[in-house]
Amino acid sequence: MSMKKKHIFLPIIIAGSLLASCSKDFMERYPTASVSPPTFFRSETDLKTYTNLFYSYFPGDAGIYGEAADNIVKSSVAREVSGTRLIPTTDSKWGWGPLRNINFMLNSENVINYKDVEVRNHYIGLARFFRAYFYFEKVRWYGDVPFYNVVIETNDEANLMKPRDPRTLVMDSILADINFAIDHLDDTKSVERVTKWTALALKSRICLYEGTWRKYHTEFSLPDADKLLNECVSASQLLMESGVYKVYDKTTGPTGKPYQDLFCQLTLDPVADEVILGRRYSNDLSLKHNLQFYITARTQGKPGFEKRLVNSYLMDDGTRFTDQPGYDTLQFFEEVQHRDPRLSQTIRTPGYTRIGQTEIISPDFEATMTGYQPIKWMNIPTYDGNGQSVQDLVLFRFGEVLLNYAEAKAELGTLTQADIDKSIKLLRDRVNMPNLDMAAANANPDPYLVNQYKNVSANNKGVILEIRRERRIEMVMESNLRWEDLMRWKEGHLLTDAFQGMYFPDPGFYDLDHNGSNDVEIYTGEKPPSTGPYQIPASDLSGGTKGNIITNKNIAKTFDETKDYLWPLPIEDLNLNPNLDQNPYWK
Amino acid sequence: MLQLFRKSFLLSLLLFSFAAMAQQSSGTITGVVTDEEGGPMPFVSITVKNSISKKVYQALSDTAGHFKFSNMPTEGTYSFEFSSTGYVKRSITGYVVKSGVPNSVVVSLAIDQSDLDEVVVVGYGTQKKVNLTGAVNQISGNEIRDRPATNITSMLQGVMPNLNIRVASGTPGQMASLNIRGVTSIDGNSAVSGAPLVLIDGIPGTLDRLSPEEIQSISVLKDASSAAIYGARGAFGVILVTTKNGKSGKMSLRYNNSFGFSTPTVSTDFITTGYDWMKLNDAALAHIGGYSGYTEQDYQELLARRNDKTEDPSRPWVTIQNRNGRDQYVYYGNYDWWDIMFTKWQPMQNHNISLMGGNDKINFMINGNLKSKDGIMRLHTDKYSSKTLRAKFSAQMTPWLKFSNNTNFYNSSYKYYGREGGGSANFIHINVHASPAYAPMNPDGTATYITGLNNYDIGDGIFAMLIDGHTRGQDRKYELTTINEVTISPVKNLNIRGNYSYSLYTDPSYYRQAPAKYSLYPGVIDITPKYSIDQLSEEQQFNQVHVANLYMDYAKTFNKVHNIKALLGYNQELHLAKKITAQRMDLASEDLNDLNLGSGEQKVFGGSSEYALMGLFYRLNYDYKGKYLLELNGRYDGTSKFPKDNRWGFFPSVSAAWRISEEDFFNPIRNVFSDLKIRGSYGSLGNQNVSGYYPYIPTMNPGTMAYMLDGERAKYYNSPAPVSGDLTWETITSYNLGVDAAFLNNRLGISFDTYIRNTEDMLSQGLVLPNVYGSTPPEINIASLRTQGFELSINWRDMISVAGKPFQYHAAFILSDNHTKITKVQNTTRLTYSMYEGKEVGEIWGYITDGFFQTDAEAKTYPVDQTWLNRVRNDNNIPIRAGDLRWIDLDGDGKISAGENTVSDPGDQKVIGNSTPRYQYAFNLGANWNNIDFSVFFQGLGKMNWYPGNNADRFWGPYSRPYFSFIPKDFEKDIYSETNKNAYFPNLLAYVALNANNELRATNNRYLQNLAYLRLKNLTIGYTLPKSLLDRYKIQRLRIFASGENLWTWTKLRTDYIDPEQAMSNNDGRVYPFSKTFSFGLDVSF
Repeated sequence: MSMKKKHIFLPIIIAGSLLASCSKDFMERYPTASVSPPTFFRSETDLKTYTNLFYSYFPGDAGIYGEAADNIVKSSVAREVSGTRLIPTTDSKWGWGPLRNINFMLNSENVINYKDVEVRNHYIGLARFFRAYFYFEKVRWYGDVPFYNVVIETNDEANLMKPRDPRTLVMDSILADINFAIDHLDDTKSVERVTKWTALALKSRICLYEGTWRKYHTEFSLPDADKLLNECVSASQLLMESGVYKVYDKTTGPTGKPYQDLFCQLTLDPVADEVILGRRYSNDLSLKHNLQFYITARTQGKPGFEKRLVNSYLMDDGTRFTDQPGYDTLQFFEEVQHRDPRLSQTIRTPGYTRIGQTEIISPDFEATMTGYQPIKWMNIPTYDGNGQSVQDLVLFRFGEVLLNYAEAKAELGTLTQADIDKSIKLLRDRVNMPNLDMAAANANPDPYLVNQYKNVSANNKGVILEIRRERRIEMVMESNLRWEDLMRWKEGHLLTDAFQGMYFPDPGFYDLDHNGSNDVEIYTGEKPPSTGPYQIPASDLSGGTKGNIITNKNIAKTFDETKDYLWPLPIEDLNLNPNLDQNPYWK
Repeated sequence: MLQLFRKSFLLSLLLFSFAAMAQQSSGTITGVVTDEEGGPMPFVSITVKNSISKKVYQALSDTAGHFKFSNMPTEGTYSFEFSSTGYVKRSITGYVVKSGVPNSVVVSLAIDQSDLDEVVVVGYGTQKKVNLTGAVNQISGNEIRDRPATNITSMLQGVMPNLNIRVASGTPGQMASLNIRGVTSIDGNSAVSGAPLVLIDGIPGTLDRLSPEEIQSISVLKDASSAAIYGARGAFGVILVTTKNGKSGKMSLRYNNSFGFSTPTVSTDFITTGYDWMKLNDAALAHIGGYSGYTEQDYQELLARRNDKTEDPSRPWVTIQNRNGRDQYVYYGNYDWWDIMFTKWQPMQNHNISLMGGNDKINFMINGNLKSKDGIMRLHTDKYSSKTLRAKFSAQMTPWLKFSNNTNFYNSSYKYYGREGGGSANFIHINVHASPAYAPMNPDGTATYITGLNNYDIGDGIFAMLIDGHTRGQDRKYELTTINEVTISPVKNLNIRGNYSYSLYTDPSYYRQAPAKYSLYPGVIDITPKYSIDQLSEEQQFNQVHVANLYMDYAKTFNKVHNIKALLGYNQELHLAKKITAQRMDLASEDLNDLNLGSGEQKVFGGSSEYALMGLFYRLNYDYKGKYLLELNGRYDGTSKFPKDNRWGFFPSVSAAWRISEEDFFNPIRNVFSDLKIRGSYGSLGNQNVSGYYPYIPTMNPGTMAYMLDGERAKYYNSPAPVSGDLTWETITSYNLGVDAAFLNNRLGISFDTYIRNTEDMLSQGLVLPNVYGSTPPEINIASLRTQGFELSINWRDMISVAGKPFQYHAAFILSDNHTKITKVQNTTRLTYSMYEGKEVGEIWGYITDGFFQTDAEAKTYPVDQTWLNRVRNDNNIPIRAGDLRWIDLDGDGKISAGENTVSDPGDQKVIGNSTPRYQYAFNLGANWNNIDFSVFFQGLGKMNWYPGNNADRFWGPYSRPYFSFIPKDFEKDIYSETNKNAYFPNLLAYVALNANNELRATNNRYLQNLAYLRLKNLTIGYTLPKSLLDRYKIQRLRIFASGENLWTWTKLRTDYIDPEQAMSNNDGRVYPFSKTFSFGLDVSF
């Protein structure tokens, strides 16, 4: 018995030692693979790594090349284009996550007290660049928006329930941010990192946007349009005079045509002359996009250039295509002859070959609604598959800055031929087009354009229209600029015109590129058996048995001038914050 | 006379012998078998053996309990054995037969109480089944050991009511998800059916890493009272697995094996004529010019070959033609891509060997298992295999000290080719663009990839990727667990146990990508853009678990009527996880795999976490004469996942039972009604299994972006996600009421439980903040839900006589159900798809259609604007016409819409079904006769709605993507046409089942499916060779058997091409197919 009693202690010893091992710390477990805010932002690496995140706020592939307005026609029409936007319950456009991330850094004690002032200001500048970028988007979409430069806490009633701040106030903050960025970002050239030059390019874009918006949208009675346009001029000028960038004009690229080569090279490095910022893609890193599939597949919306855009390209002698008699009944082959070379570098025209191939290929109606099939950005066929494109894409380029400069000056009424010579002329020279003659343009405004842009009324109307032409042609399929342009010029009505494609005079077979084989068959009545060419019913033509292809013809398009220039705010947020007002006429 | 005997010699045998009256050397034995009450017992099996001749005689008692053996030699003595289901076996030895006189035997059999004495494993101990007060089920490992499946979880399906098993796919080695009693919690807008805690010999483990042969029992604790002892993690039930122990006595060696062949449960009869496939898909996409890019001429070529089953040399399936100015391959085939990609039969095998033995001091058990199963891929077949080895020994070192060790090693490997993940990934990717018209290979042996006539990747390039076998991978898992335990019994009835276990898990895997080559232009070999990378990735987790338990139990009976048992214990656990991933590009060899061979970019990723648990627990049992039972459980529990001040919780429970059948007033009916018990329990448990390991600590997590900077995918940190500083336990309160009854001497058993389980303080969005907040508001303990359900099981066990031989049989039926309602949540907008208060979890909102427009005129004049659901039609100028769906304008506003998609304004939607699996049932029958055993097991589901997902290719065919590879053979008969007005689907149009705002994609009543099914889950027939035959080979037992799994399925699901369980596990029903398996094997013991 005593033996047994002795051994009663054994378990007690075990128990005791077990309990001892579970000292207080046993239950204290902290993250082993993530850091906590108080320990972060203590090195430049922290700042650099954290700010990398902001780059993801730039548009992705389709956000760059997939524009939807009146430039590119697709099988379906976006709601904002057809004028059928609904007030959404929730909307990713009304998303504020990026701002929280930016403000988190800008308000971090460790950032504010970061010792190396130069490093600190550089990264603060970078964050403020992105805050400006963020708010520029919000203002474009919604007009007045609440401005925040703090991280909102769950109990911060004042900020959560804040009404919208006036557009002017937000724009002032945007300018303050972008100016800080310009002052403090690196001026070392880079095609992939945001620099002082990127900030200037963004400022040029923002100020042109806002300046023209305030000028044309008189319904909002906004001040300082000229001040903003002047800011655009000065930012653009800084870039132009810096000598860091120039119009890419090398003939050493894959096609030897500098304009086409600017977009179709796999990486941006050969075109770094002009590219201020781009987004990189890589096969090795499996970072790919869908551009070539979008353009060549029959299931991706079949993008095609709209007829009026095609008509906007001048003749190669600088005269207007639309001044030619019978221009609107020319067939494809004829209409693309002797045009601004950018046309054949932007869509498939007779004689077109893919990069790296020798076969001449025709426009493929299987993949394009209008027949005017885009080739901008196209590389070799290897990358045609679904999600298999890898060429870098351009976010900001010097060409746009030149256009911004000319337009801002023209809108200010201070444009001179000398200004044109250092801006538009550079773009024209690249494609061997004659220069724009300001006096001639003003003396004889293009009636075709006059008819489109209803709100231009200045005495230099002629040159403003020519600059708009230049911009539309030069910047097509880039950063969805056309939508922004129509909005700021208050020319939304252009979206309601019926979208048109190629002209066909009769039913029958057509060899679009005169290569000896038929590409299209226009038929009447019952669809005949296919003999190869793409078959289009004559009823799709504007004139019944002849005329231009009318796309999306059963979609009634409207544009409500009172409300459609801004987006509606989502219902959920209006309900959650009674101080938030809906945009005008969105009910 | 009989009465007399019964009185004086109850439970014993009496013999009567009379003087010999005749000279014959043989005699006749007659006898009668009765029960304890003297009633005759029919169908008692009687075996008689002669001591000299060793001859065995068998008979069964008749309805009067009589039996008779004639011509029994008088030489030697006889031994008798009497057996009947539900009664204790009896035997008599040394019986002498005399000739010429009546030799009679009278015997009575006692009711076998062992059924009630059955011991059930409960938390930190065992309990007699009769004394259970909570809801506990148990099965023995033997019940599943014959089944040809590679994992235990799938074998448990339908075995216990409300142990809900969902198998994700038919991938070999695929683990199924376990759940007890339904929805446990919510996560954002989805309901979570959390997993129970699984303990193997008391240590957290994974069921599928066991082999059935080593399992003694699997016990499932369902209600709060049974699980309360596990507090923190037992909230949603506990599964306790006990492995077999060595036994003292003769050493035994047992070997068993099985060999099986599997084949998909679904039809794989697809369109294999290129002409028909292409016509169908081009028609679906006619509005944008078709899919194929084939000309009329091409179609003539296809048509000419339409009836060719194999290639006719005069009509080659692969041609070379000049297209776009260049010679290229043009394909006109009738290829059966299913057969090209997949095998019809997949072999599997299982070998198990176990060795047991010991003496009164030391015993041991060793079990080794080896399994392998081939995957479904034909070219470079994927292979799964697993090995387990368990070694246990226990030593009674002194009368009061016992030591034991239990060590288990597990290893599995899945080796595959093609997409990362192997068979299941290949299976999903081959589902597009593998048209029967397209060849997998060109005549020169190169792979195909694109046609040049459109720019789609044939079969997503999977064949091109597989052909040279360079792109491949392997997933391996290793687990080593060792448990050391000391048991001390210092005084009588007191046991103190301390154990410590350590478990190590690692899962090295690699995936090697190599460029895949193809040819479109004869003689030109290109690299597919999709699979152009040369890279080796290796990944490995390294997880450790330390568990220590210390507990003591004490049992004592006072005054012979008060029985008391007490248990007190302590538990702590520490979980450590670490992960490392490394990648290197451009390796020097396509065959060798080592990171050092890479010359290209190198990437490394990490990851780690840890958490700790601690708890003090107790259990008190009291019963009075086994009649009134009371049990108290509780646990004081802590977890590192919550902040210090909210870390600890106390979770008590109580349960009680009344064995009514033990009351005196029950005596008169006990003959028929053998047993009756009612049970009730109530308890509150905590759940710490909330998102992440440090949910209360704001952290900045590193990540890698899909954005390239400095030549690599950029690294970044996020701002910390907002967290609530006062997170604490979810509280689960459960009520259980149960009845156990037995009838007809326990032949019939019925058990019924009903329960309510409330999950309270669930983590959910506590605040709905305006979007300007910029992040998801922190979750707080705010939401509640209630799950209700029941379980019923009915068992019948009996024996009858067939052809003079005993026929033992049993039948069982189980039925269970549960459903869940959200009882509290902060959600003012009440979107239909969100968790709103009062929501019946799983509800499906949809539009209502009453069928097709009958005429174009009707379609044109229908006053309701349906554009909301006709996106593709609108966008492509396709007018609504006869054969399009007509939608009902429920809210009468003249147009079909989703309204605000809220409960108060759902537009034209209403609740049309529910995706919760309801009324799961199973029944089985087993019989044993003349050494032949037979069992059949059916399992099924009463109701569950499914709306096919947008990529449900076998269901929608070209209505979704007009290029799905595998279109059911008879699909055309479902397509509306002038001549087929009663078709199932409307006018053929691509993408209407794929993209939102289209008629088939919009959930609606017409295409809502019911997944109710009944499945012949298993059928096994075995034969045990007679002992007389085996004795000379020193074989104790030899059984051969054949078994079939998933042999037959009946379902309400409309298509034969999707298994209802595929649809349950994946919205598109597009997972690696489930198998039906035929197997045979032997089981031998020495």
